[in-house]
Amino acid sequence: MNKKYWLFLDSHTHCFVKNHEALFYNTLNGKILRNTHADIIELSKNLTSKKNLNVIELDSVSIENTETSKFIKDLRKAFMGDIIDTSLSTEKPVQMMPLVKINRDIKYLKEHPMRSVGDFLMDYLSELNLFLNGDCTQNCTFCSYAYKQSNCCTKNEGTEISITDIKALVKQVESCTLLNFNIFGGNILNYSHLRELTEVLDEFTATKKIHIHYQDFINARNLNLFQKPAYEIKLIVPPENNSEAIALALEIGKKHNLNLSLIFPIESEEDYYITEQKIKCLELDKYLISPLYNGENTSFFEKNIFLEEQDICSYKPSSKEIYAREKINTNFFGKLTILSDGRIFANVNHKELGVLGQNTIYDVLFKEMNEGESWLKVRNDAKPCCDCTFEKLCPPISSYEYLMERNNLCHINDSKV
Amino acid sequence: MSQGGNTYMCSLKHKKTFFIHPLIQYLHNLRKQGTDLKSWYENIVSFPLEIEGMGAYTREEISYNISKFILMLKEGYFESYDNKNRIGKKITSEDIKTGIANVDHVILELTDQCNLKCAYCGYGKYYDGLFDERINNYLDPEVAKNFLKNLLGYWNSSYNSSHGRIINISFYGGEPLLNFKLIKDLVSFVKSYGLKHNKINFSISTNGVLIDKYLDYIVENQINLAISLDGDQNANSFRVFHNNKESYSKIIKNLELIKKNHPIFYKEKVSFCSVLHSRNSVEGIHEYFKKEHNILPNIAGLKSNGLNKKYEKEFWKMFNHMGNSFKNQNTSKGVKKDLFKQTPEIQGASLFIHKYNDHCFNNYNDLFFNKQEISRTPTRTCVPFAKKIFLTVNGKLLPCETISHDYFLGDVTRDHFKLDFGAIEKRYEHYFEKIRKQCNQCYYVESCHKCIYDFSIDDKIVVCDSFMNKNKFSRFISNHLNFIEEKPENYSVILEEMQYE
Repeated sequence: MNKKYWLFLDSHTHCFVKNHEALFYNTLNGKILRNTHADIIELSKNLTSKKNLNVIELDSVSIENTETSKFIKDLRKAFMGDIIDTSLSTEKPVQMMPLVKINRDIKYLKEHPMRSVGDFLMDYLSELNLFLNGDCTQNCTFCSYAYKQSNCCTKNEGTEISITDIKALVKQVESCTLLNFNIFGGNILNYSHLRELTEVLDEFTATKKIHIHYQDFINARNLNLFQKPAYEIKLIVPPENNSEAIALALEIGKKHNLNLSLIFPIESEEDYYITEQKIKCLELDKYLISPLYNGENTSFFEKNIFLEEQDICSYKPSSKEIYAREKINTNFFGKLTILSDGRIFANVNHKELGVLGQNTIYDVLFKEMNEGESWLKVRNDAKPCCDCTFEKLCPPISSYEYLMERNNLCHINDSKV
Repeated sequence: MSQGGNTYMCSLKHKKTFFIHPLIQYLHNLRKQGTDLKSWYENIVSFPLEIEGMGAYTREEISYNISKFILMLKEGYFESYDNKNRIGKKITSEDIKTGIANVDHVILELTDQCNLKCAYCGYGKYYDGLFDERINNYLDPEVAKNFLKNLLGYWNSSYNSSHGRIINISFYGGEPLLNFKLIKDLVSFVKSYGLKHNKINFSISTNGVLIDKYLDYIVENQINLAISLDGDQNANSFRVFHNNKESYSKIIKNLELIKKNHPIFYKEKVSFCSVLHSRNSVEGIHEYFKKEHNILPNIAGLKSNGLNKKYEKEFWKMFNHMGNSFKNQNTSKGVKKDLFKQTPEIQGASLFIHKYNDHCFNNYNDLFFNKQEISRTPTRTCVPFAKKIFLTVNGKLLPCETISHDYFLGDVTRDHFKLDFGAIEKRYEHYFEKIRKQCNQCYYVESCHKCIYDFSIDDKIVVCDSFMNKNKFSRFISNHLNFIEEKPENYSVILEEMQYE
């Protein structure tokens, strides 16, 4: 007898089908199943079609087909789906297929005559990066490019930001649910209105992250300004022979009761090993190693930063992260950077959105939502990622990609190239 | 389980509804009863195991589903969900101020006088004195301007989180065109005010009788017209002048005038509201509007709360149930297609899909946070003034035009705009406390449609007629799943075309 079955995907399984491959991902155990057989790609397309909602009927003859049979076996083994006798029910079951829906989706807001791209946009602002000045006596090699790819200071952008403009800015964002203020120099300790600035920032419950070169920190005379619970001091520590100085900085931090952590920019494996030694030697527990692309260390990135399929499996992105990666760039979304010359960016590697004192934050956010290149830039907009089944599993596009001028910082499809 | 015999689970904690193998459900029930699954499995005497009403299963199938069940269990799929924290929020003064600064809709009652005497009027004999007495009063222009001046201040403040957003200002009555001079005054007053962040969309809710007198101004200022018309002459026959003469022919004459002289305005700025009652039907209304006006109306049922007991019997004779009218066999496929979004089944399915599936979000921020863990207030009551601000002809401020005037939250005179935020906070918390215990036990909390003012909120004990225990909630979920199983093609259409904010 030709028995009939429902083949269904479990709700914790995501299926991504492109012309060359069908990929199944289980959010519960991080398992990934890839299949390139034309029959299975076709079956997967059919299975995930809007009319089938992740459930299709198969008969025992088609199940016995070698490829289908193997596919079902693999699917079951990874706890991604199952088959079930159709005679157990009278209607075809449905799975609530994860078609991501955002009620205030940008596309809807643009198309609907009674809505605006600017609807509730200030609610999205969560982080402000504020570069106060360009005044700095340090000579870090990465000064001109580190701030374009990570949380780092720079004296590259010159001048000093006006405190009047900062106050006006703060007035505009006082009702926003800001989570972080990241403060950078130059050397912020030389900022002419530092006390006034901290008084303004104290009005916010957001965390204030103050970034200072460790040498400037050691020489600082006004650290008492940051002796408050919502302040965090991030010391920038270049890869040089400086263990003793770091120890001194830590001691000063302790003495002043500051919430201190260290950022180690690295550009090579050698930098990494030096840094690792320091971390071990000083028994550090609050630190971040921050790889920097300097235009010449592509091989360092290829070897150490680029993702493998295994990295994605071990990270185990959740359904929510997958949905987010379809709609927004979580690396940049909600963040604005204001350089010391007043220029405002959603990402410093993109076009400026406005100028402090000339444009309001409302204008700037409206521009980013309406025509920006950062907050809503997803892998589906970028080649070759848009053709890859890992598109929504990979982390969002980062600043590294903009600087390296390539999107796929991964080895996933290397064998096919 | 759906009517089709398929097994589903709904995890309120994960905001997820999903089809599962019936064995998973069976194992979940065993575990809930305290059975140790390992020993249960080891003690199975022979395979295939026959489970009553579920068929027979091999050793491999059972072992496989136990492993899958454990995997799901570890992820918390079967954890119970406690509403208590979810609905623990209190409304604060800041919420109210933010609400006013971001309001959708401002409604001004320009007069309580009306040139019609519609049988089912919300201010008429069928309703139990919930509103201020209608004494042919007109809104004081200075009060109206003071009201708008204060709102404009909020809209320009940093409480406003939007830029370029449209705020609707509606002129309401009675019949607002009876106070046309005030419409003109207020339109120019608002237009002369420098709004930083918003655009204004004016509209008039009118019975259509006086449109011809003021049409040129209305067209020139692109003011939207929401015209009440229940269908053809018979369907519209509850809408009569004070001398009982029907209003239909006068309205049609005015509509012809707009169509003839201002066809683009007619197409873009005119909408219709039809009340469903005993003299019309969804099918009839649809047919009429499609044929005669080429615009589909919004169809609303008669308000059935706050009824005057004396006339209740008479009221119910006039009442026509929206759901039944849609379900009526005579309702053609074409009507259902055109009124797709208004169909009760589609609205129900939309609610279900948006509220019980983890891939539906209100805004981009929801992609970062687990909404189920964010506290909100009980019921679906709006933060006062966040959706609507209604100014009555007597200067009372209400959060909605459908609420009894006794529940005004503030008032406006020529000199003051009085809102005591602290008192509003307290009043709402007092109301919420009356219902919170029931909400804590209710499975329907996520999709609750109740406003606190739907209840007899001053009663000592408030009972919610929409309360759902587990069984009732299972039936609610089942009904929607049945609908999607029958018409799976609606699933993606709903997600693509319908909003549920």
